[in-house]
Amino acid sequence: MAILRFFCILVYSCLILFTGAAYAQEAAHQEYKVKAVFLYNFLNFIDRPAAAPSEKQHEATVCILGEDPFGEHIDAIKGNKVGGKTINVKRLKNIEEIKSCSAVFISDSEEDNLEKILQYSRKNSVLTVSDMDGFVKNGGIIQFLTKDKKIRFRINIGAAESAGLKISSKLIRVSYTGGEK
Amino acid sequence: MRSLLISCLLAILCFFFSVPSASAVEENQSNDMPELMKLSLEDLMNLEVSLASRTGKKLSDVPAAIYVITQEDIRRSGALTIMDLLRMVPGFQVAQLDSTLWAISSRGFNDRFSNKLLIQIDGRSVYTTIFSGVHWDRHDLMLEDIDRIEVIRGPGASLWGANAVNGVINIVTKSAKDTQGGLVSAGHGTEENDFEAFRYGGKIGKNASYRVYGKHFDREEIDRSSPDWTGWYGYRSGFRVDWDLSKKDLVTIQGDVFENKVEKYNESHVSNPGVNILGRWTHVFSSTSETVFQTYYDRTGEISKSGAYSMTREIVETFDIDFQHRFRLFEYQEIVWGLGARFIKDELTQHDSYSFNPVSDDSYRYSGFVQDEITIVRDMLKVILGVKLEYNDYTAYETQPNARIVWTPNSKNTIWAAVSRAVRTPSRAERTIKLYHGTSAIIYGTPNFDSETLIAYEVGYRVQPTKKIIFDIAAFCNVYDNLLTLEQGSLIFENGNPYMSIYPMNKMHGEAYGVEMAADWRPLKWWQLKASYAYLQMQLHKDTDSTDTSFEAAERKSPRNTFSLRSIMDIAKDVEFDTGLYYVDNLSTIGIRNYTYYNARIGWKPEKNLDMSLIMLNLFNDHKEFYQTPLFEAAPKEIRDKIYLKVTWQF
Repeated sequence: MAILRFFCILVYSCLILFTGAAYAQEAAHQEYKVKAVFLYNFLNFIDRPAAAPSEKQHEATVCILGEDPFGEHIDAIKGNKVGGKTINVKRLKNIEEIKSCSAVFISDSEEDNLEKILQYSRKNSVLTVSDMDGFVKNGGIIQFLTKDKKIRFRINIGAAESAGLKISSKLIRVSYTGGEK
Repeated sequence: MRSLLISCLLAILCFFFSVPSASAVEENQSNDMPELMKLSLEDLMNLEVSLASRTGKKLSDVPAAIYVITQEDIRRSGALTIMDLLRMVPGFQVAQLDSTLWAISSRGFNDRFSNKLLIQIDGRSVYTTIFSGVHWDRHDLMLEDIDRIEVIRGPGASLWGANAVNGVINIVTKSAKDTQGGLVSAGHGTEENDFEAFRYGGKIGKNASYRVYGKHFDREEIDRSSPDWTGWYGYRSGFRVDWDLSKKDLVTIQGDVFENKVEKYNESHVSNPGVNILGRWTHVFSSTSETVFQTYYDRTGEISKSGAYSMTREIVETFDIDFQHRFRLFEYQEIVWGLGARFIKDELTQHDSYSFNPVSDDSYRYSGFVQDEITIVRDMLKVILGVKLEYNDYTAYETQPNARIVWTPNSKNTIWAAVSRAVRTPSRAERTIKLYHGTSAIIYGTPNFDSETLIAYEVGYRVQPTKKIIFDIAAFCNVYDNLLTLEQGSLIFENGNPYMSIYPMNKMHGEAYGVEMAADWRPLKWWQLKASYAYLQMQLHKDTDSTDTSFEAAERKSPRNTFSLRSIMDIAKDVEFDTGLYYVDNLSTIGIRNYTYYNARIGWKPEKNLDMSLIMLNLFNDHKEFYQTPLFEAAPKEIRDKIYLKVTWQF
């Protein structure tokens, strides 16, 4: 019995050591993989005014503000093209940097600064996206929701208009319009 | 024993053969982002995701024989009880033997007192340790508020503890956030005199949501010709509050109060009142780390009165505290550990045919567990090691370890294998009952009765070859020891009458093995087919010195073959047509013949918030499902067709 116990401990230790060496980074969550792809897709359906400070002919920048829930997965959209523009991904350190973005994903962690962030984004015609509760109600443009384990999004058309963004009717058509949150 | 070996070998062979074919499908593609990026917006919206926060895993990664009944399954089955819902679980044995009695089990040993299946409602155990089993008739939940029912076949003891031997059922109700607004449903039909349910959900302040509900049913005796019956009815009411204390703290408080009653013409009646309240506090440190603290109080009882003379009461109070902590260690290990304590106080007054000594008792259970999920190759190979250590008053320490391995060569294939040990701890009855069995024997509970044990070997394979097909197969080999038998003692005299004394002992061992398959196919956008087949074989062996005459018969008290096929159709924009065909093999040792029955539901949604369903159950074949014997014998009643109409309105 003692030998068996010793053997078990040995096997367990080997397993831990072996994987420690072989393993690099934490596995990510499916939810944010899909949300990352949504973000990339949104750019297809949004027209920004040519006069916006960050609007460039060959580049569109997707930004993340606050604690990054995507991990490395959002980097997979980097280099892809949307409407002739190459996508760049940027993690922001302060609100002022929003100026350089085409779209910004606002993490839950920034809820307290939301008003300021939205104001700043509106001024610079940046698409705002988040999954915090009440985001569109508080003036955000696109809010992710989860319904029956599927991802939906709600659009605040008024907020888009006041930021000078044009949202394609196709995106509006498939957006979520039901009750709750 | 030889055929057991052969089947185990076959299962192992099958396991190895599936490996090359699985890896051939797709080379090592741990990153599915490029694939996701090709999807259209509509496809993305139809993608089911595993939520990053606490619900955790993608179903396809779970290294166990798991089956999930979703709210949509519940709605489209038209079922009114948890028991009828469980009929759709592959390989589950669900038999109704009387209006208020069911025998439900997983992987064999089916009985009215099936003692190897654990059931929890939002983390509150409703497995009773008084007789080891579940009072199925007492858990008449509001089905519309259930989010899902997770059914795990096979042992879950390393996480959930003792008595999760052959399976675990976790009923998870919706968060109050997801039940905002009102819902009223009502119906009427054969056997179902009337049933009504009401729920309303709203907000308290900015960060809290609540719901309250109430329901009632009034059901007739399933044997409509029975002369001694007037009815079975029940009331139930409850609430739930989910409060986001902060961004990182969620507090849930929920509770129910209910009473079910059976009344008979001969003035006897049985009433089952109950009340429970549960609080849970979840603190999230990050997406990979959280703690859950949960506590509940549960009180159930049975008050029975027969004629004008005798009145019995059984009151069982449970108080439970649990703590759980999940975190990631060195990035490739996910550790969950927890501690729990449970206190059970009971009062069991004398019944016509049985009594307990002592009448009132306290019992304690303490437990601790740790589970380590080690990722060996990211998104591909994981090993899960876990153990639960438990202390209970009857058998002191029980160790329930478990080792699992899961290989996901790509996002379409999952192969897993597991070895686990689980125990079924003695019930209060097995330790302390005095039961008159017929007119010539008395069964005495004994402190010598020990835990039943299981070592289970399992393998499984899950594949999703296309988006429209899911196939799941699990094979198991269960080796039991110390199984319950009833052994003859000496002749004793009571009031001058001779009685044979009988004692519960652990003088049987055995094996059970089988295969369970489930397939889910969506040939058309509006048509879904779900099929299942299960095979079960049991061999039980008494010790040579055993005098037991009845428990070996459990070999054939669970069906050897079961099959089901369900079709779920949206035949028009607002019309649904759902049907189910169920086959259950004979139970030769208790004289139950094989049977096939057919269920159908026609649903019509004249408006978005209005749902009208006509539900027909057990069509075309009256049949008997179970014969309860030898203890608390109950002759089988005929299960007949029944039809009812249900209307649900949401506002």
